[in-house]
Amino acid sequence: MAEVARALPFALIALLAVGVWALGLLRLDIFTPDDVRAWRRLASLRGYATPAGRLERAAARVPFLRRLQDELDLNRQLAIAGWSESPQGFLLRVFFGALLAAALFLGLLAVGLLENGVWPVPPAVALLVAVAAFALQISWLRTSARTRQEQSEQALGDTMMLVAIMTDGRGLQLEDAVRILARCVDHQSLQSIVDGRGWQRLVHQPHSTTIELYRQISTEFGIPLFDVVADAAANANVGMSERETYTRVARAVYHNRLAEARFRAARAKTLVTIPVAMMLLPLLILIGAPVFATISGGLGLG
Amino acid sequence: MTALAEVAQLPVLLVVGVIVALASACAVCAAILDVDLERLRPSRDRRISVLEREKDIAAGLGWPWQRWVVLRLAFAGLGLAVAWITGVTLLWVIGPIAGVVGFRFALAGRAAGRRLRMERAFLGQLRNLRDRMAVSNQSLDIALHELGRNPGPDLGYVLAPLARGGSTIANVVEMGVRARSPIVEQVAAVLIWARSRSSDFLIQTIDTVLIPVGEAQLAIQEEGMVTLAQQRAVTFAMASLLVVMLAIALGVETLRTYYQSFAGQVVLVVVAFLFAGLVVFLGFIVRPQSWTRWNLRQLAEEQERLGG
Repeated sequence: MAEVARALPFALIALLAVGVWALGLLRLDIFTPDDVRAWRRLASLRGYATPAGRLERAAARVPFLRRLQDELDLNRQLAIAGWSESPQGFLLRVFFGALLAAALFLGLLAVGLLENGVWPVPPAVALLVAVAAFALQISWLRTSARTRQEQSEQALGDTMMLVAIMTDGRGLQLEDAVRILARCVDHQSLQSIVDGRGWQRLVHQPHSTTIELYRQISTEFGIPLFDVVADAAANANVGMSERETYTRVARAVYHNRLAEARFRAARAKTLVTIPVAMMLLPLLILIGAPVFATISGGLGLG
Repeated sequence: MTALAEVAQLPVLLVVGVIVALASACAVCAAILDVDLERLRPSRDRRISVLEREKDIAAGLGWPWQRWVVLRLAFAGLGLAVAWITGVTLLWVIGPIAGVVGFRFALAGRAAGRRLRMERAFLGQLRNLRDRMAVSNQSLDIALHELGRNPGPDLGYVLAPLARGGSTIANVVEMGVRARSPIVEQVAAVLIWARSRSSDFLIQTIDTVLIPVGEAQLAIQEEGMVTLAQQRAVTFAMASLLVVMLAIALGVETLRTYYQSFAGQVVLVVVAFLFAGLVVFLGFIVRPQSWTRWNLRQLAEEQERLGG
């Protein structure tokens, strides 16, 4: 009986491995007919929604995972950050990272325990490590999303001057001009939204004009400048000169930036005192540490 | 064997095993759900932008890229030399890092200042270009050629391509690439797209768009420079104080012995991290405005593709 109990975990692990292998094969569409695979590939290339996999459907049914996704707004954040993962895949990867961090930390504690016979720190701290690893990964996603929003907004603002020339002088449509210019910016944030059809991940409502599309992108991606450009395009559509309209947008963008730069400079003058004052700390440590060590050594504390 | 048996008895290992199994299960499921592993690798964009920033500083100083690399390596060597002279083990690590990063930090302000001067001079030349076209009735190509021949003190290297013959678009692209400045790139981009229109169109564009927007950009950069200069002054003062204190401490026999001990090395690590952290924090508070940079060659290709 004891032998069976000892072998049970190994049998379970083996079963788990076989199950995962089978799931992997299923997911890789090994058993899917060739024509169905080809249709799915074509649909995904054209940006149509493809049916969710079995595992994705199962993960979507788990209430805890669903609630967590909603709370963290994962689908939107992933789309804004331009990460191609599904929310479920991302969550599982985050759990993996958190558990691995906790396991590594516990492993280190075990070494300490073996060396000294006592826990170096309470093992419950491993839980905190896991939570910290989880929070860090989520915050990484949010930072990436914010960076992409800022880069896209900035690039769109900087394209306006050229858009004014291209629409007026060359007769190009706003959408085409923005798409061409997005390709020529030294990063891909704007291009992946307007040219790479990245907007399809969040914009699901039908639209018939560029103005509608830009308004929806502005709402869904949180890039308000798209709304301003849409307003300008609406003005241009009712007879105002395209060059004047988009030039005005460009000027407004630069005036806003100037005002923001001035505000930041004024705020920085006050805020800068905090790190400056704190810079005395390294100096104090540098002088104080040997003195403290000598005194504590003399008193027999060291 | 006894040690192994002892380890095997630890319940913590069982817990670690279970956690690792769970983590592996999560990893496998995530992999099945098309996890984006490519993203974990630093993207080509980011790698290029790091390199480009370094090249920007070298160009801002008016140095060739090779000289910038050689000097940074020399300062890393200087850091190693300091470590060798003082005998403090940790300085073998901190010394070269401080040499490389400190050298960049020390010169970045000067590079930004020089670039700002160049950009101001460039806006002056843009007004000159406008006058040549509006008042002297010169065509854009001739006016650009003339500018290239009389570039002024700060723009000799940047405007030199305009004095060459050949394709004007190619020369404008080369000018933008040499300048490594968002303002010059923006103007170059406009010239590329507006060149084939009438002179009046271009003059109007320079008057209504390029000069006002360029001035706004310059004003934003100047505002940022003032704050950045304050930040640099504070950091320099503190870093110098720290270096002087460390030099004094290492000159005293008992203090040097302390800093050569393990505890002293730990203190040095803490001090280095604390200082670096505060400099980074300062950088966050006074972050300068970043600008969109254009890939002018691609822009010229797109323009060519749409019919020149």
